[in-house]
Amino acid sequence: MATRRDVLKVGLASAAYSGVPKTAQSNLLFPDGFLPSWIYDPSPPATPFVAPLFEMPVAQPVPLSALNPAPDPLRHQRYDEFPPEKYYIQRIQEFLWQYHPEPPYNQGTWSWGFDGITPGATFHVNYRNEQNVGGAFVRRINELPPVGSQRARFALPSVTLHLHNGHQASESDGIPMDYFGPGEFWDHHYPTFPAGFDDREKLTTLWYHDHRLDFTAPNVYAGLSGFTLHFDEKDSNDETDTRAGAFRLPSGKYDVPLMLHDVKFDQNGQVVWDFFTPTADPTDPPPVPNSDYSYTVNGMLGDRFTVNRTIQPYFRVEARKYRFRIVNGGPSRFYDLSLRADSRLGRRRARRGERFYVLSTDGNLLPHPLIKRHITLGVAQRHDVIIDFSHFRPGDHVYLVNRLEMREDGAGPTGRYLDEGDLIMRFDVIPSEGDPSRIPDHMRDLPPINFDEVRKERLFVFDYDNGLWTINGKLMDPNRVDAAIEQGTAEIWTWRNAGNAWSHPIHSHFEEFQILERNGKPVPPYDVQHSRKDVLALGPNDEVKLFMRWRDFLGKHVMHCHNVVHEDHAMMIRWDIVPPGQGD
Amino acid sequence: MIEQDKPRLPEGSRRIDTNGKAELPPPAQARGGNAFPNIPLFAHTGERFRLYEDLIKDRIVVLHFFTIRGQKAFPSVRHMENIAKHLKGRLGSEVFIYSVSQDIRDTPARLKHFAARYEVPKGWYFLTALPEDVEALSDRLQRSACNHRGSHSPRMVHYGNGGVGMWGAFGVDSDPAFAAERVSWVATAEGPVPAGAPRRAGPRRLGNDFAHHNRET
Repeated sequence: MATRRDVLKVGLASAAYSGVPKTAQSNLLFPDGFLPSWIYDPSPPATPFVAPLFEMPVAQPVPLSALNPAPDPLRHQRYDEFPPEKYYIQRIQEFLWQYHPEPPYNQGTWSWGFDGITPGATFHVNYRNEQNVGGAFVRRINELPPVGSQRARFALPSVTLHLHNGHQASESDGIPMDYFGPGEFWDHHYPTFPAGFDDREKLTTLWYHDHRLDFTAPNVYAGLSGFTLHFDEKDSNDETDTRAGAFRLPSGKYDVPLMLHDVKFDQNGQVVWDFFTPTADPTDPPPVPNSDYSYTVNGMLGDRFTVNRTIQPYFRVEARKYRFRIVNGGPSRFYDLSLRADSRLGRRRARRGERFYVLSTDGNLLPHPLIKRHITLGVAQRHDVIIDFSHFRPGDHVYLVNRLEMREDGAGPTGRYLDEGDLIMRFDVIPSEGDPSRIPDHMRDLPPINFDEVRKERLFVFDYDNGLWTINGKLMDPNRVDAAIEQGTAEIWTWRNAGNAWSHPIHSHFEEFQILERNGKPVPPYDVQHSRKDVLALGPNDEVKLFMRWRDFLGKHVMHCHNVVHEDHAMMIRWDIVPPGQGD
Repeated sequence: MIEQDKPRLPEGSRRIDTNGKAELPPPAQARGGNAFPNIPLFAHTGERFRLYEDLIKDRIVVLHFFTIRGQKAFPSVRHMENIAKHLKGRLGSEVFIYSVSQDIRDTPARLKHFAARYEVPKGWYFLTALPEDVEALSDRLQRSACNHRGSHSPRMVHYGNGGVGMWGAFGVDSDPAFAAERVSWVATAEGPVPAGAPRRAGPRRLGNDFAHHNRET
């Protein structure tokens, strides 16, 4: 017979498991005492700034005839309307990668990447012009060893490659269930036109990365990430472009993508993932008696900062302007980046150069550049910035510094800013050969927000449930449609973080959103968040209202936390774009 | 596929070429370094096991924590029973389910009595251990198993390949057929990847269906 207490318990349980929870589960059940590996067993030392920055090559197209079988238009929405300008083949492989030249790193680290490198080659893709020339088609072939033979033992050699922020149809998006295993390939059609054919919706800096259901975090950590850059007649990849309206941003070797990943290594220089992978002798006593080895659900932090998969590199820069495209590749760390110069000109003069001209937020060009002393990057967030090294003299050193402290367990920032911080990389200034580049006064206006298009408002509450991360109390189920959105409509979404201690960088695929209000207030116009965004760092107890639209294609996509450890522990929903009249 | 020339590595690439060379020392496999506690466990069948040696090593494992008392609030074992139905055929040979009690009152005899309420195929064990051992295990797998004796049964299920050391997680109340599919992802491949041209995994030809993926079916 059910007692009164049992009835109460059932009542509580059903509040937690159906619909939006009444109380934040976080406050009830948060784990304590978690000790991640970077604390109890730090990575081997590596002298900073002895390894040069790895500069990824630009991906080279292949002739259409190299694709056998040929691309099949019947597999892609609107393929014939948007024929690709360029075709590519990319091979996903396992290899030894040298993160640093000193032992033990010099012997190589088992890594995953593309055609022998990580990050993979950088795709340069043109927006389609008036002659409808533009876009790309990428065939990705999985050449990883099968399960049981892979050396990166923590990662799953079944992958799906998402082009983050790309305006592409579901079947080319790289959603979590579109995986392909060793010996298989997947075709990605990138039509490369702005959403709604509105030039204000053009995208600039995108990145591609694995998105495998349950295994995104280990797969990206193993090395599956790279850049895709979009160009058009304004952002034309030519700093000497004399056409009217061309931005003339630093281009060629002065346009440098920087991918940040923090990585934890073992004493052999191999990558460590904090879960209970057996050792060669699984009955080994732990190196620290009674230490807490634990499966991590909170986050994964590394104690070696890598840029383009090089530990604390140096990069020679001429005393001129550079465009850097900075992506926080995760898995879990948030950064607050600033510049610190070690200049012969003295502090006061150097201070003039220690600033970023912020061009973009989340890879989307802003209405105009903003001058900022520091930029914050949650996982998967991007900023294109210009750094003007002409403020320095040859021989000067300029450091990229992270001052944001993370919780030890990786679940979010502590909120503290460190005085010294972490030195991420060093720029070594050398003489300039001239600088024809410009910093434009105007870039891309924001598309207007039209409330007449709004069909629906939705609330999403991000919470924690005993080791798993939930959205509206639910775990990711790719078979369940959590939002059926009518094509051509807009919606207002509210994202609420029910936790009071951790942060979630939330990402929704396919189209950007604009922030209507954050904790009840609008975003000031000269804030970098006053922009088109696809990732929003939702801090403890934050509540943010967004304006979002869905156009051009039908099909399934996802919205999820981009702390990929949270994502793999189910903090994700599926939403579908459905024909008008079929929405929920 | 047309065989292309082997792509040359870009200048500055840090790839270490192992072609024609013996493997470099030590190429230790990348690993988490988190050994399992090899604790003794007692099963509802009366058997006694060592966690790693007997239950994890070289097996596909589905593991969760529960308490008998907690089933009223959240019937995690009933959910697991549904998953077990979909794993039938593989259970007991390749795949094993471990339901580890966190309540010291759940003795092997009580677990046996409890298991009789469910359809428990071969390969599914209800397990208990000394309190400090259960605590060591639940600490290691999932710190948040809030309360080692408590009334709450966690929702999280760990699944993985004990031989390879690759682990994922899902909710015990997930779609049971899909949970069983997930378990198959981590199974060690039988033999090498077939030689020859790669096979198309997707996207499939467009249709009007709204399945949860775009793969070839």
